Amino acid sequence: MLRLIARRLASAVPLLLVATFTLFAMIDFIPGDPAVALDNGDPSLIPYIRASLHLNEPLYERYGRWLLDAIQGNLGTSYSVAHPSVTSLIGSAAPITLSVFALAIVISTVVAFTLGIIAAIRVGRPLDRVLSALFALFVATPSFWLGYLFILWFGIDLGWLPVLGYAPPSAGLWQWLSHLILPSVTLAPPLTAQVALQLRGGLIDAMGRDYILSARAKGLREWAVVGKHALKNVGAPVATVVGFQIANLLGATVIVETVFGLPGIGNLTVQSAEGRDVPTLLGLVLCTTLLVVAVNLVVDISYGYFNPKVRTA
Amino acid sequence: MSEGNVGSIEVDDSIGRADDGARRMPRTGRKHRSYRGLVALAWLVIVIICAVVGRYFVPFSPNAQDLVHAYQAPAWGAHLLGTDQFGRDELSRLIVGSRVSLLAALIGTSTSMVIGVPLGVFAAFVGGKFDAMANFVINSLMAFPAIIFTLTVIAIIGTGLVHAMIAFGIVISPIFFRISRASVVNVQAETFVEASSSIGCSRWRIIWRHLLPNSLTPIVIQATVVSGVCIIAEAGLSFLGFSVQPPTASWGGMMSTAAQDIFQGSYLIYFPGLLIALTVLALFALGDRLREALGGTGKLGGF
Repeated sequence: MLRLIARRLASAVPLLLVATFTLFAMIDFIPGDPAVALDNGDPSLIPYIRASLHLNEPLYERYGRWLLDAIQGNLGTSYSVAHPSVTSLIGSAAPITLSVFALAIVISTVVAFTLGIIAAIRVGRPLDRVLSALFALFVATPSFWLGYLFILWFGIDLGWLPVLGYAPPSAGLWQWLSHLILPSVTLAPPLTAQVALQLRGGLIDAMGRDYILSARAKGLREWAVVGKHALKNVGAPVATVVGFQIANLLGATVIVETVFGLPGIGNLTVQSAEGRDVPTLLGLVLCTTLLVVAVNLVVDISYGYFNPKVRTA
Repeated sequence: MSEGNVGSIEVDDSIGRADDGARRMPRTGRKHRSYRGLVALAWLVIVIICAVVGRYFVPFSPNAQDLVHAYQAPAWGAHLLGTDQFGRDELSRLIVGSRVSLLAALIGTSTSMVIGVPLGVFAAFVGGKFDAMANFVINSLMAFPAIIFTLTVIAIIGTGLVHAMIAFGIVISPIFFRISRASVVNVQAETFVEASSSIGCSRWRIIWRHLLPNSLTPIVIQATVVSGVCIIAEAGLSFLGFSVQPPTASWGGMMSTAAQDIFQGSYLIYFPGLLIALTVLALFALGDRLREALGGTGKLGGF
């Protein structure tokens, strides 16, 4: 098991190197000089700014410098007005995004398992077809539209939940949670649909296998047949889908955080792209890619739980 | 049944399993499904007509301001779907706005195909080290969250519909790389490819006459699904202000103004989103229908 983890970690390193270097090289093509943007209207400062940002060095030297700093947790200085460090910007935004993620994943897993199992048991019946249409709708609905519908219905018309901003956990557990519920519910549908569809397909497949027949033959109750035998064999592909969807979830969070005014990773990305704040964008890409790699690592490790044959690999 | 692949832009082997299991499904609802494909196609035709000639039959000029009649609720007679903050007719703007979504689908999908398909076909055909390298780089790109990467590319090449969708097309091109590579690898194993190379066909002839036509089905099916993904992405980018700029009418941009006016004109929020969802749903359904018609798993097609 440890060897599996070590090997996966080792294979993630070249991936991150290629990814960040591609981006670093692409950013070099940006027209315009960041020093000009930072000189506060005083052109005589430009040479000093260029020197302090190491803009006169060749690409590979700058990349090497950035990489060495990044390994030590220093992602450079943002180009935005107050020049905060990128690490602190991302550090303060990440917990918000991660808590929305956690809640969204919990919500969609619970809903997806319920609906997916129902669809698989009722395969081909009207209920299954209704659910299939619902899943397609879940994927096709733009998340920001859903966000605003929720704001309109639950925030403005019913007044149940706050619609804007964020409250830290120190402001009280309910305060904190109430600001996260609507964003998480808005993020959940596409993930729910993908997990439920995978679960449905896998379950239908598994229910026709011999081990299910033998489980039934030895007189197990239906819930034990589905829950213990069929479901565990569907675990690996379902976990794979969750791993794939993390990258999409990160994309959706950019829009959802803008809708709900949450100062998380997504909001930071939009601000940095608007301000052409390259160091922050680079740091964001590195951190989000790390997150995707980490989640997929957990997914890979979970294969060992679902399928003991993988453990020795 | 191919519902299992609705909207999945990942070309993952495990997703195909949904089809295997579904074969045991009773074959009812066949009629129902072709009916669904027809409805989807009809809706897409309407959207395309609106996009191409819509501006000639709109009830009002889509950008004409009429401040006296701002925030008029939908009503029979004058403004069927109401007016926005400048008194512009919502229905006219929705009709004209379809143009942006259609262009977005075209630009985004063709960009990603132009990059992904030749690379995928080439990688599969050449094989060996190049294939391994290309696969590695593409897998690295897949680890990037699409929208965050797109925003970074937009920061580099600039905003606007064309730039934004080219950026998105670049970011999602691995989808086409993977699917075209996988299907060419499949076709390559066929005897007729071996036969044509043994009678001395040139490499290009094999690629053009044999590999490409026979790998096209999954690529076309994927293209319909990716078009839908592009429309959602464009709406999101418009909404964030990186794509179409006001006053040009676009469904995503109209969502964004409706969101600012949520207290004055909450009715404005329903239609742009509904149209996006319906159009994307229609594209997914069409992709599904094509998969059914052209051959089950979408791996090799029914040739």
